[in-house]
Amino acid sequence: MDAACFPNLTGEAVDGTPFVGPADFAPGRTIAMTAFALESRAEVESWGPYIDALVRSRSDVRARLFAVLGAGAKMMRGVILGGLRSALTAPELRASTVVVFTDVDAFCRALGVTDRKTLGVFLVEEDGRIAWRGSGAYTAAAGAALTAALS
Amino acid sequence: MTTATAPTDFSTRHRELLDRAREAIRSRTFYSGFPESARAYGESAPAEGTAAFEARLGKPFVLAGPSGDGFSATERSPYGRPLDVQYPVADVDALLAAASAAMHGWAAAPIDVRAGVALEALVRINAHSFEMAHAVMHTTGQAFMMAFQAGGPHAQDRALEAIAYAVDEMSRVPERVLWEKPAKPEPLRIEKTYRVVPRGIDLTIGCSTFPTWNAYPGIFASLVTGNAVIVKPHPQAVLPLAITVEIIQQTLREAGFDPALVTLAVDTPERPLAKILAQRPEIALIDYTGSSGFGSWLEDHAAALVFTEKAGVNSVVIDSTDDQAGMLRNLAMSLSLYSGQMCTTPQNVFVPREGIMASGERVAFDDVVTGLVGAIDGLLGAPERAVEILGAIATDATLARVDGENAKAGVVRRSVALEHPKFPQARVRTPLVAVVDAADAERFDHEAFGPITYIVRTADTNESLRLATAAAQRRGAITAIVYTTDPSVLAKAQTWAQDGKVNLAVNLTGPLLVNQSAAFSDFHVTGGNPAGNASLTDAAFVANRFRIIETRTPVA
Repeated sequence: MDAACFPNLTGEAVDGTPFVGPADFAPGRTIAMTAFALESRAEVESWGPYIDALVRSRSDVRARLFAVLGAGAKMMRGVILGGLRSALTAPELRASTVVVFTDVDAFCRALGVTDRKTLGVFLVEEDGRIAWRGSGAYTAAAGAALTAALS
Repeated sequence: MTTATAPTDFSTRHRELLDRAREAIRSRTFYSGFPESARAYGESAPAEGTAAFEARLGKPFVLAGPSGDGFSATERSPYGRPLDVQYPVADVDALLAAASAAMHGWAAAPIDVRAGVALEALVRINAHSFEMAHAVMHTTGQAFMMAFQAGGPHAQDRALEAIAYAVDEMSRVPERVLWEKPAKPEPLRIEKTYRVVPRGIDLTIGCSTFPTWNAYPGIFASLVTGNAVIVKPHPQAVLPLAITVEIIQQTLREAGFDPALVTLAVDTPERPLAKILAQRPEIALIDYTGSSGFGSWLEDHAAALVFTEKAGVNSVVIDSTDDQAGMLRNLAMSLSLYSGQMCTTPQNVFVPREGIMASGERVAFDDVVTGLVGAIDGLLGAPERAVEILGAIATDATLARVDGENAKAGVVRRSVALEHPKFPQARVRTPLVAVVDAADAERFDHEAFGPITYIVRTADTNESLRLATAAAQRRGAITAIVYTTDPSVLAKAQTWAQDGKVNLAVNLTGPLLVNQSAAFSDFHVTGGNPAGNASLTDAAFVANRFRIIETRTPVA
């Protein structure tokens, strides 16, 4: 069953800024992408041009990528964040990429995600409500649906 | 005018070096005959080495001994620097005749004299370590510091180790004994002499990635046991071995021996010589490092005694760890160093699909993958540091393989080009990581030489060990690592090592990398699986390079 709200979560952006949801979704609306495996990287990249254009044209919308890892991986926190800092050199990418160490099963249940191999894409209101959801790589239809949900 | 040095002087001069090396091969504790620290060579050594290297470029490189018509210049620097060193093309018949002729005087020399001359040559090679570093760097693509250490002192230590083994083995039998058998009315008294004689001419076939490190053991083991040596370098990495032969020839000449005892056989792309030389009846020994295809052909077809180091598929089995970050950083360095172009670099990383245990907590498979990729990203984050770790890609074939793999499914870290701050034309590529399932054997169950790593998703650690064992047995393996905190898994990993006949490393989380092999202590290749039939260095590597001829004379 699809969840109505994005689950509460605590994470850390690659630039070191803490993130606590839902409070830090405000102000404005957020396109939140959830990735549970590196194999989703191509799907993340496929959304890049659409989201870049969107956030440049609308000051009330931001995008965040949540890299969701198991709590056991927290011992690798330094390795993973260090690697991401090396891979993501642009400040806006570092600020918008949030690493979350959590109980992944519980997080997915709360979000209504059943396929962890596929990128999740959500339009989240500033109070954490989910206004639209999609998944997988960018398509023109998915982009149009998200644009419609934003209007 | 040159002054000949009595060959016995070299023997006396280097006796302590030899004694310490002989002790080290017995104790297997740390020993190095040649310092790996660049500072140990003096302030002027780097500049002198650079100047010596640059003086070689764009010119003919002429050595003692016969040569055929024309010159060959096949080397292309992976850093894009023009080399154009021209080597005389070998005349096979003349080379073999010269080697046979030169061997007579050399074989007649006492063992300690031969060892002394070889050690003197080695010490002189050591003095050229900076020049050698540039030569190795610009032919193999190794970064400078690796080229200095692996191409210089570490290679020299491997040569010293081979000399020590050779002297040990030849010294097992006395030169003379009075044999008395009780009998009536008189005991039977026989004077017996034992003479070490060489097998013949050794053909050392060099490789493109570690031309000195891999060739020196065979060259020096054969020399000290009285054989002549023809060095056939890889067309991409001639200069390091040409410099080596030049120094050995100078030393031989100075000691009063025929310098044609050691010669260089350079060929052309139109007429490669390795197969031709290998099939000549005059060749008694072959030392080979390189691809499995030609190595296996030599093992099957050459009449000579063949020592090979070929290729393999090295495996990592991750079961559990108490130091996940240390494990990932260690693996990241192992996978990145010299862009995976070491025969010791791991290729397949087996991880159970349910993940691993780390400090008592379960870590999901995907998170292990994320961690390993993160560790590689972190290691290579600064480009100026990255190029010193990665070096450059040695051959076009490796570049093509990486490009092809980039386009396949499961790639979670693409290989991309990096610009070298000093050499804009350098062929630098970052490591590629792909996730595959255990069922995708056709993808990972063969050697993918270069910066390519497969993380293989297995049912459990038992399947990981089974696949790793099968790979070692069928494809060969030179290294193996297991990460586990479970004694029962460690016991199974020992079985993997024994059944696969591969040397095992356990829980490497610090500075020691599985890629590294220390002379005098580590055996490089076991000789027990398809990755090679010889080991650097054990007694078997030297003992069959000579025979013992006995003379029995009754005495009154």
